[in-house]
Amino acid sequence: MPEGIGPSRRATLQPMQHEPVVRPMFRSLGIAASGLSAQRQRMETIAQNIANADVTRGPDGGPYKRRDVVLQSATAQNALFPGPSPFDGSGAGSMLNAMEGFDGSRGDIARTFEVPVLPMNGIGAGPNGEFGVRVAGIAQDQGEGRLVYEPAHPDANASGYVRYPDIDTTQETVRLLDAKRLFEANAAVFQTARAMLRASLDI
Amino acid sequence: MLFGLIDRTTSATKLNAGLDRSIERQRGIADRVSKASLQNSDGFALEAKGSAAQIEAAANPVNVEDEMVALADEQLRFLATAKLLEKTYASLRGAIKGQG
Repeated sequence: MPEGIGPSRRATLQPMQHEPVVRPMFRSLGIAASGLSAQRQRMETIAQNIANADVTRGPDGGPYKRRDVVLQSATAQNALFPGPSPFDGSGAGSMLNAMEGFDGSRGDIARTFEVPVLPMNGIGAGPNGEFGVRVAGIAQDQGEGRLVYEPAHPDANASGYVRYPDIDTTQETVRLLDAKRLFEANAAVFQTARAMLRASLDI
Repeated sequence: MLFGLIDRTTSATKLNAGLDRSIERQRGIADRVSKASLQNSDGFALEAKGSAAQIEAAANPVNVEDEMVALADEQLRFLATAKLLEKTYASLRGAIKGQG
């Protein structure tokens, strides 16, 4: 049996030890993917807000609280990338770092939003520290909500007012459009990077 | 050994460097586009709130349209450079094999 074909042989596509996990050419894909993921989470949160726009009984008994995704520039320590390092035992393998979770909209299954994080320890960093974007957390509206006079509503108070979530569906729709367009822009970047990689294979 | 054969007879090294630069620029575009909504949480069509200084400070420096144009430009440059490099290697291969 020729050397290198045994079961202990390292898979071809795995990074060599002490080599960057992310090859420089693939970093563009990772950055675009971080943007896609961030915009997708924005869209999910907006969908959550629109779906709960009239909910007067949230998990805490009060009206639903509007949520907003907080984005931040990723750093070497928390950059998003899809693949863990097979050689790095210092936490890179456990790439899912749970962030502040929140329940699904009145669903039976509580859902936790997770941000995949790969600590890169400066490996493969671009010259300008380009690590894309990440979701820092999901902020919750601290307002009490708007009061609407509906004496016949089962959740009306003694004065006949019902407290509704402070959600403007028009604003949410505009935010949704914004997230959609930026998602498309990131997808275009991803496709371009892929096309460039494919072209480099033809050299 | 034919040290320096490729460097002396072709422009492959320069083309390689051009491809690397192209990738770097493309990575920069990807980074800026991914961060396009960092300071734009109110959405592009909503009226800006706060004082003029606050609005200016909160203004998103990323122009997605410009970035898309730069991306298309960079892609074309990369493809052209890759094609040139491909031809360079093909002609070098032909010269080694003695093909006309």
